[in-house]
Amino acid sequence: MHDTRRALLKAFALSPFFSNPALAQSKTYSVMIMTFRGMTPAEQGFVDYLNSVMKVDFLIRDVEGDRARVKDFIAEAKAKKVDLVYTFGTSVTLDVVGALGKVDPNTHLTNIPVVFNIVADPVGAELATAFSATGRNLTGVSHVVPIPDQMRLMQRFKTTHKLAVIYNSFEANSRLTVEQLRQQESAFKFSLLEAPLVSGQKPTIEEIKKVMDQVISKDPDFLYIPSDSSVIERAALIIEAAHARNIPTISATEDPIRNDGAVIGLVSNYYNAGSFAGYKAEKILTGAEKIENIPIETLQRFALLVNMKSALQLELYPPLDLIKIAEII
Amino acid sequence: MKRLHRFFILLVTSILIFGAVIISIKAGFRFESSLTSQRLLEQKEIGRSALDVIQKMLNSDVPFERFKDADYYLEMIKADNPGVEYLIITKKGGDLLFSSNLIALDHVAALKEALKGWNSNTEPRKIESYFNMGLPIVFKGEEIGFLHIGERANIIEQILRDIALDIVTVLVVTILVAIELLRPLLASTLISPLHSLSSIFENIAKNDFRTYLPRDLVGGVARLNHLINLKIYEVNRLASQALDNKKTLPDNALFDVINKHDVAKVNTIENIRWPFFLLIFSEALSLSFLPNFISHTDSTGVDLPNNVLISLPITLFMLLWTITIPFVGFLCGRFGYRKTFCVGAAIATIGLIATALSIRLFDVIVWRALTAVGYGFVYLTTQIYISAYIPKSEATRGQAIFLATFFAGSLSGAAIGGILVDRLGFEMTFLLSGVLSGVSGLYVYRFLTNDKEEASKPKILKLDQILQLLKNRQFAAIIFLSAIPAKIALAGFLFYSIPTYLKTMGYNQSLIGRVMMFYGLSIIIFGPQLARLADASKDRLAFVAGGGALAALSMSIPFFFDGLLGAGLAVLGLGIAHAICVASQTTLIHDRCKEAVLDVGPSATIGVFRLLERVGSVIGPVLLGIMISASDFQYAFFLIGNIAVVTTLLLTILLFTNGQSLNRSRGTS
Repeated sequence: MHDTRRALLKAFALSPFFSNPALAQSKTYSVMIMTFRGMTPAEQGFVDYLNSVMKVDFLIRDVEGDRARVKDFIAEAKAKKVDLVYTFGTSVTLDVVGALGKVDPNTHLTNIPVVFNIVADPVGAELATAFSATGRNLTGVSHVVPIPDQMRLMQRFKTTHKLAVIYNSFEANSRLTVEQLRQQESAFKFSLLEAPLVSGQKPTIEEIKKVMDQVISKDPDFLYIPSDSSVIERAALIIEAAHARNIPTISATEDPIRNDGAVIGLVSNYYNAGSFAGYKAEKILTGAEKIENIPIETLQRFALLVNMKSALQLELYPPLDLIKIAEII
Repeated sequence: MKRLHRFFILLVTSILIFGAVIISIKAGFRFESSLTSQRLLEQKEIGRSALDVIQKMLNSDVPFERFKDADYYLEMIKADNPGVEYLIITKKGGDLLFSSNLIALDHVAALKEALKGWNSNTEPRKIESYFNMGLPIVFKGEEIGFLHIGERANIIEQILRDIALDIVTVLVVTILVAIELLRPLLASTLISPLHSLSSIFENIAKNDFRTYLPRDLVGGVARLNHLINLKIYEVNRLASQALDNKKTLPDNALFDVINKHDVAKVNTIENIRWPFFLLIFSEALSLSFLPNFISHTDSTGVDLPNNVLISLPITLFMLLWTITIPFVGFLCGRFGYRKTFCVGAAIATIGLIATALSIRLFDVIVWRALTAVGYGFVYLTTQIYISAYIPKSEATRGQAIFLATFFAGSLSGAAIGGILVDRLGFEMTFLLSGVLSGVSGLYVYRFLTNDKEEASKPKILKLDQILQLLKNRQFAAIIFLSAIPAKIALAGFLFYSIPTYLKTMGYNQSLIGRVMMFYGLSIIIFGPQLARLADASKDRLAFVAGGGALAALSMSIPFFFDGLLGAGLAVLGLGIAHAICVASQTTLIHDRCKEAVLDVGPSATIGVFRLLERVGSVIGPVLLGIMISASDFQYAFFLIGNIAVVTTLLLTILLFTNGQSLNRSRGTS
């Protein structure tokens, strides 16, 4: 906990606004950024942080939702002997480093340090056994706020007996989140209505509409939008469908609230998560610490976001004590 | 001379009280008006933070009447701000919209009705038992309602009453310190020089011109000494001259013909009273913050629960203080009172200064233990010195003075220490303690003659001496039926149970402190006067038994009057009871066990007495703790009161029958 705080403090103190040019190293490092569906604020935070402390050549590679492309990028990283690889999300990270006990030096990176970001549950995804040092060429940052905290928030807004969740069953990360939601059913006295997208890594609009119609017909009290890139990509469609039937939405990530009208969410700031991942990368690149000794961590500060336009539309007004600390969008 | 002494103390104390009361009253008036405006500001500040949230909702277009969980939010603010009795949001017409829980309020209907007439020009005012402030809620330039905040109307009176009690406490402590500061001044400038003069004039009246008065160092009455010494010198010179001229000197006169220049020395208990007060005061400075200080030290490597950590240096202090007791009587006899006191003060000084510089818990434990040794030296040396120099007819008063000085030092030290530590910090307060302790040693070095105890050979207290004394039935009866029960009452009832009892009833620390002060003040105020009566009556058993009975009755009071009043009366009663009996205990021993005391030695007897009575200090808290857990506070107090009745009755019967048989045997022999 103390290490995390110290690290966070340092990360913010060394953020672009406060960076000291004197700290810059003369060597230019080569870092590959592997994204799942393009650059997000998380990558921006990572890039900005590293640029503020050292000279870095970034090779930005986008999987574009097609996991088959990961192996080409691994080959490129090996060939170019990059100093470090940054991965976005659970699926890309699993494809780059392999799950515990399933690592193959031919298909995975085993010698190049890998720093992941925006992985909801690295333990459940079998990337590590705990939120600690992994002992291998992997560390990173998890962004998701603990599910019980999100459920507590949801119940304060509206007593929920039926919670719907839409997710892509092809995303490992989403399957883990749904499993965690199931575990909270008795504690928060709701039954989970699962709405999986099963057609593949890129669900179609028609499939989303169909699944939404099915789940809405069960009359849920709230709809949960997990950290699932397929769902986030079509968040506007999903949220509009739910709100049209007066079903409020809670999101695990900030984009659906800021851009697509989800009502509430307790979220980590992607940019800050990126800066924190950048801080870990700096330690590795400068040799200050070995990657096998750097723990996997989460951010300690979360933001409560309320999309007031949607809240007013649904007449779902925030409790007075929560509005005090909420960011109104 | 005593009357003059008392007159000076009374005069100075009266001037001090008069000045302090005038300043307190003047300050009180100013304070009241500034306090009222301060409370208003506080109410406004609480309201402003709630208004910010209300405004945030309104600016987000949430309808005013549909705020979610507003009652809960207002209740949260009330809980966070002790003193606030209610928060109410009304609509423009004054109708109640949201509120904190109003169930516990008086006159709710009248309050709601009064709020209907509120407008933006209404000044904060009293409504029924509450002082109400209404802050307008404005949206888009229009006043749409009010946020009302209410406090008890008498909260300012309550605060002022608390402050007045604090001022009285400080005043009492100031008077105690002032009286104790006056003592050395009066002793050195008035009492001691007058005693010396009296002693010299008595000698001259007997035609004895061999002694001179001491040199005057501090002024006062002693300024006469030089002139008188010149006259005595002149007489002695004439006597010498007469001898040289082979003339005979008068048979009935004695002269200093060999120029020995003996100086009249007068030892009064005042000489030791002030340095004793100063040392107890310096040690007590840390009483109020010691647990806090210990918890701030570095306890790395000591794997013990926090409570144990804090109690460790305190327990060790008590233990070493007790262990030191058997050696002090021997040291006083072997090296003299002055040296023993000075060594004790020096050890305490080193201990206190080293504590100030300690960072680790281990260092604190070591240095507190050393301080305890010095403290033990000074504590018992003073008691033995007072026993030795007080006239036998005033023996009880001597013990009462000892106890009164001890409590005066403890009370004022603890109170002033709490104030000092806020301004100076732990380190400087401990350093100051060290300096004061050093000053007390220097004072004794300068003003006390290094007399040794006469009559018995100095011995380290041994087990056979303890057994020899315990074989004496009357000694054993006084120890087990009076001294140990008194310590059980002090440690178990007063120091352990009463603070816990009051705390469970929700009273704050400063009020508990004030109640506890009753005990020390009773000893200080009534002790010496009651002891004078005991000395005059010569029937010390009546005082020991009477005090025991009153203690028993006092401890039972909370059983009949539950609450603050009962506890206060119990503490006051116990203080008066101990003022009656505790000082008489040692005198009663000297009265009833003369042979045993002569065999063992007077200072050793005091050592044995102090050592054995400590058993009560150890078992007191444990005994009361068991009783309280087995039943409750009130039954435990009733039970301990009844036990005290039994021990007092037994003591009276035993000593009374023994006294009768002693008288009869005297009558027949």
